Amino acid sequence: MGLNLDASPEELKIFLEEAEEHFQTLEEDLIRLEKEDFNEELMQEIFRASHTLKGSSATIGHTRMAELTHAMENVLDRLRKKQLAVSTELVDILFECLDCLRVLRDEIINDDESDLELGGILQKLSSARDSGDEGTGAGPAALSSPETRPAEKSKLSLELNWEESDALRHCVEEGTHPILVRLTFDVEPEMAAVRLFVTLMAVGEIGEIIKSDPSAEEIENEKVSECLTVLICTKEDEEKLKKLVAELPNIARSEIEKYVYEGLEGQVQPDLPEQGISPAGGAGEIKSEVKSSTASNKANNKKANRTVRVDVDLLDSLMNLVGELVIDRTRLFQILTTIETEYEIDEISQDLGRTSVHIARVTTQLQEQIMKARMLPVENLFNKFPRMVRDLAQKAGKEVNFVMAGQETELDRSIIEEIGDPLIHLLRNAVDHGIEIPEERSAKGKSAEGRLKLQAAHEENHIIITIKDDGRGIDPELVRQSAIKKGLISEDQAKRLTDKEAVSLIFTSGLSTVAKVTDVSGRGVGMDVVRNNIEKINGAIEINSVVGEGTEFKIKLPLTLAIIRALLVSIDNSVYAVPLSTVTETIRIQRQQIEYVNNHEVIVVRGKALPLKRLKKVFYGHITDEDERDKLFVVVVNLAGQQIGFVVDSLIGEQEIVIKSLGKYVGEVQGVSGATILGDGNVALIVDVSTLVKKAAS
Amino acid sequence: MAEELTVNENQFVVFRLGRETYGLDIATVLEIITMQTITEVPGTEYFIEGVINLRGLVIPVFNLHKRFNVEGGEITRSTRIVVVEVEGNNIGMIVDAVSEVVNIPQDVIEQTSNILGGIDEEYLTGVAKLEDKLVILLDLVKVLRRNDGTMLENFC
Amino acid sequence: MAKVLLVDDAAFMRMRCAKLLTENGYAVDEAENGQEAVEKYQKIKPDLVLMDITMPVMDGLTAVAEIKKIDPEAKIVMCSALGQQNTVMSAIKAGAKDFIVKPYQPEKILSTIKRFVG
Repeated sequence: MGLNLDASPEELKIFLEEAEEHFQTLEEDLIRLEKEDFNEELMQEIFRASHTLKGSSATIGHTRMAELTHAMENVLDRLRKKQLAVSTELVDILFECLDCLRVLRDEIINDDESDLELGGILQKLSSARDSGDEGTGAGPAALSSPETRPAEKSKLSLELNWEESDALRHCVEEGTHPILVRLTFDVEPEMAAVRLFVTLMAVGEIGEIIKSDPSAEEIENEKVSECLTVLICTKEDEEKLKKLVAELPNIARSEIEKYVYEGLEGQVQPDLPEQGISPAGGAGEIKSEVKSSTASNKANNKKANRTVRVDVDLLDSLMNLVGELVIDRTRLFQILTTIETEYEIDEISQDLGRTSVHIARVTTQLQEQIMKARMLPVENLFNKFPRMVRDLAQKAGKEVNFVMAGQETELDRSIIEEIGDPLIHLLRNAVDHGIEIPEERSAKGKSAEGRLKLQAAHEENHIIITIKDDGRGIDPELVRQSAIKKGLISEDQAKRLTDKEAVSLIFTSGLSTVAKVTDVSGRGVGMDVVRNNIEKINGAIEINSVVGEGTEFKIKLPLTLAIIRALLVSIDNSVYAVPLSTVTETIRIQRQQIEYVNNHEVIVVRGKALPLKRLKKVFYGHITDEDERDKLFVVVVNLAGQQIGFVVDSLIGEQEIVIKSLGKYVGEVQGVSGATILGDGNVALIVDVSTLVKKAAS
Repeated sequence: MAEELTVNENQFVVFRLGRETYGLDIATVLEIITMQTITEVPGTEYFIEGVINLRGLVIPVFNLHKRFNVEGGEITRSTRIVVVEVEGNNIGMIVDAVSEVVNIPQDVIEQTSNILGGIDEEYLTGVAKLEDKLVILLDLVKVLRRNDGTMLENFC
Repeated sequence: MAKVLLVDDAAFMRMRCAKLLTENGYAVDEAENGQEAVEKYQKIKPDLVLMDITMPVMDGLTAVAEIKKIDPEAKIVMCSALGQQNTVMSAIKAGAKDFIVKPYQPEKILSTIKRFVG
């Protein structure tokens, strides 16, 4: 059943965008609120978000959302007036509201009413609101008594930039006095923008307007707001202004006071603000402040207007087209080389050379720009984590200080889509298994509160995401034991594993799916899935863990999915591409250096045995005698702590490649993850490092 | 007038494979290209020759000689890759030569025949008897199916 | 007795409005387009003008500008239909004092007029 909302699709889009912003604000602020207890600014922000949602949802006729936000506002209003105290229970309720709001938002998206019942949450809100009256007792306890804190002022801040401060000083010198007027309009005046404008003009008739919010300019641009705040310098007194305002239509509430300002030298502080008068009753006290600050908000607004929305499909198609260009760029240089070697260099070939260089440069820039256009800050993904960690910690009876960093780091949107689940999994594991309960931590001499850090950072051509906790860590010995018990490795093999390699075993499927083991090892349910998901997008995951001190996961991701950097190698006269994100080094070895362990080829690199895998054998099933050259090339790859060396015939070079599917008629090919087109127009296969490494390990 | 299709006529792309002449419904043929460098994909079915780059698209190429167990298959100047579209996928097929496009009336198509050489009946929609030759009409979907009836796409 | 100049090309609207105003003790004069309004303003110097927007010969917006030229202190209230927000905004910027939205609510007209002329 449709919702029959009173708004155009365009308006709904704006509404949804704004709603999302408010949800995000609520999400972040509620967590902060719980931590920081009472913070007036924060409280106001939460209130505003809810309040604005109420106004907008009522406007479009989404009655259920309006009803819920109204009930929220009642509670939040008492909270900000300190008639209610912040408590975990209360934050829980507010979070539940947020969940409901999202469902209600989805109703708009689906244009279909959900079966969400608001009765329960409304009941909770209403008892939460009333709980302050009961004084002590169950539920959120009342904080300070009303006497110590009178009805909290609704803080009204009009920040003045230097020009405005200057104008204010000037007016004061001229003998006028500044008055702050805040007018709240009743619901939906006709032509709200014009009404605001006329009101602003009317107020302006008795003096000089220093500043208003929204400004005349904003109103002209049809910025509609429920409130109009005006700082006016006038010779008249407040009484006169009150009379004037009382006559204005559509005003539900007005607050008028002398403007209290600081920071202006040589000024006598005016009297304390007096109680304002409001025709609709319920006057509030206003505290205002002057801050000399830049008009950064305005600048932001301007910038926001310079963006357009682009369909993701369009971005995908642009990326594909650029992929074609990248291939042709390489091709162009090969043609050029041919011409230069086979023909005499003349003006035409030089001209072609210059043009090719230029096209190459433009292509590179175009590629970068389009990649950038596809980038989103990981913030969009990270934002939901604080809440999740909080809920998990609460459920598990743990105290977790969750810190995030590098939210501004940008990643291709398709990668962001893929990386969400693995991150959730790792965070969940960290809270559930990694971080100990407070008593246990205290007994160990750690702080009762565990620390969990999620960080994203740009590193060369990759993005590194780390998840680090200071929990109990993973005991390599326990992992070894269970791996032996599961028959994954022999005791002999287990002994040879370094601690890091042993811990990395949690990424193998046989081990990580066993619930019992994970309880012991502290980590691991579905770690193989996490690893698969990350490797599927050409990423790599690594673990570092110290028993008693904590665990760190390091995820290395490509900047984009479609184009990756690869090392081109030659195997049996065919070109293969190895994703560079997996390559740690390439080495040249003599054939005699190869040793045998259990009939498997290994070489010793820096005192450590490195298992070898002949790619020729993998792909073609045989090694002929003539292949047995004396000099061999080894490409060392590392995935999830497992290192192996691919033996190839020769190294060709590093190149950006565009990943293409082999298509469904070819199907999945062992050891090959896809194909790419080389500069000469031929197709090269991409080595599926992930699968080969896993196969080598088993 | 002679070129105009009557209701019961269909156009077929006619090509040569060994000593036999085959026809493909023109609606399934996207283009006919000259021989390309084919990249072998290890571990695939014996009749998949490899993949090629068709204007930025990587498409598989089937070797029909191997598929139908037809002798010959040396690459000559007349060797062509017929690019067809089957169930939304582009696929290349190596043939010895492409000769022409002919109109074949429905009534000259026989459903079965015992005069065929190497090719299995199940890959055919029929055989058309034209004045000067027999044209074996291929059922593409079946050609691209494995012998056990499953789609190749399920092959790993 | 305060004088109000009613400007509207629709006779029906003028009639209803004039009736309301006279009943409430205002002296009413009428004009049926902007041009006529400007001429009448000069002649009778009304205390307030109720100005329709969409009119033949001269529209309300132009008339506001013209009247303001004659008398910068002129009090003009725009009478607008919904959806004319931009025009009303322009009129306000050109010097109109306020606006009311059709269909008229008698109380609204009266309270608005009262605000300007008492």
